[in-house]
Amino acid sequence: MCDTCGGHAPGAGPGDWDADRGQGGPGHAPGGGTAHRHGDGPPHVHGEAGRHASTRVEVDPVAGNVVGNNHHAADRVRQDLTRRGILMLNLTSGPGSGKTALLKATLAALEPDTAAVLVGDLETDRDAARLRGLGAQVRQINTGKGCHLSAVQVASGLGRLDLNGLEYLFVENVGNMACPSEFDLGEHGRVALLSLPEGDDKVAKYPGLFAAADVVVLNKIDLAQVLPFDESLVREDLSRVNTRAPLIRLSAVGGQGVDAWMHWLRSFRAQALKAVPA
Amino acid sequence: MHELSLAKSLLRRVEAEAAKAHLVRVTAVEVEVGTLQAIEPELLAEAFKAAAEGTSSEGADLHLASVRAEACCLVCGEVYEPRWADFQCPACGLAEPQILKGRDLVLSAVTGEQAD
Repeated sequence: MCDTCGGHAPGAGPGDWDADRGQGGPGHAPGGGTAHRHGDGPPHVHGEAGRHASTRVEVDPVAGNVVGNNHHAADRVRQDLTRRGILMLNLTSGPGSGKTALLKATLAALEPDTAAVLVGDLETDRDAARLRGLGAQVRQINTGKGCHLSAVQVASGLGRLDLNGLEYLFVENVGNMACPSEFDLGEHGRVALLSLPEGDDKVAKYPGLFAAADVVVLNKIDLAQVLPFDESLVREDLSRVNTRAPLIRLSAVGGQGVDAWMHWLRSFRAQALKAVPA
Repeated sequence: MHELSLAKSLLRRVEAEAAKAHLVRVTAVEVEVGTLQAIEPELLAEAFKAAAEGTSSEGADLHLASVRAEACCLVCGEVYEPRWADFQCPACGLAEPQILKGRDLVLSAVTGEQAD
C-alpha cells in the first residue's frame, strides 16, 4: 500500500473515484519511481528525467470540510446568543410568502425593546424599511449576488445591533427555497413559511427547506376560499420529511392564527434556551 | 444554486492545501459530497472551473465521490439512510432524524506537481 494515498485502494474508499483510474488509485506516478520525502514535504514520486511527477496529498477531513468555517461561525453565534438569553430564529421561504408580514405582526405583539431583526436580501432595504417604525432594531444585510445568508454575515450583523435587553432575534433569510436551507446561521430554530398562492406541492418540491424546520407556518389562509390549495397534500408531504415541526395556519396580515404563532414562539424560546446550557 | 459559493470555498481549501504541500500546479481535486447536500455535480464542476481560472488550480480535474447519508431516528433510535425527499424512519415511520452523515462537502485529496 502506498504511504501517500493510504487506504484508497479501489473499492475501499467511499464512492467510486478510483474506478476509472485502474489499480493503485490516483497519485501513483508512471515510470516506477518510489514514493519518498524531501525535508518536511509529503512523500511524492519523481518521474524519469528528474521532472516532478504527480504528488497526491490527502487532506484531514476536518480541515477539508468546505462548509466547516460556516459551522464554526454558526456555533459561535449560537453560544454567544444563548449566553445572553437571546433566541435566534432563521426564517426561510420562497419570495413573497410573507416573512416580512409575519415579522411585522410578531414585532407588534412583542415588547419593542426585546426584539431585533436582521434582514437578508440580494438588493434594496425595502423589507427592512417595512419593519422600521415598530420600535425594534432592524438591520439590513445585502448579499449582492449571494442566494443565501451565511453565519459569518450574521455574526457581523450582530456587531451592528445593541444586544442588551434583547430576547428575540429574527433573521429573515433571502427569499429562496433551495439554498438557505443548507446553511446554519447559528439559529436556535428554523421557521419555514409556505403561503397558499405558492401552491400545495412546495413541500414535495423543496423537501430540504421543510426537513430543516422546527415549525412550519402556512400563511395567507384567508385566501383558502379563492385558491385551489389542498392542505392535506402539504400534511402528507410533511409526514415524509418532518414529523417533528408543528404546522401553524395563519394570516399574518389578517391576524387569524397569529396568537398560536406567538404561543409557539414563547414556549420555543423557553425550551431552546433551557436545553442548551449557557 | 449555491454551487458558486461552495466552489469558491472549495478552491480556498485546495489552494491552502496545495501551498502547504508546495504544489506549484494542481492537477486533480477529490471531493466527497454527501447525498443530502443539495448540489448538482455538473454545476459544481463548472463553478469550480470558473473559480480556478488564473490560480494554480486552473484546469484541475474535479472528482466527486458521493457519501451515503446516515441518520439516527430521534424517536426510536433506528439508524438508517435518509433520502433526499424521504426522511421517514423505516422502523417507526416518523421523520425526526438527526443527520449523522450526508450533509457535508469535504476536500479529501489534492494531486499536483511539487516544487523542490
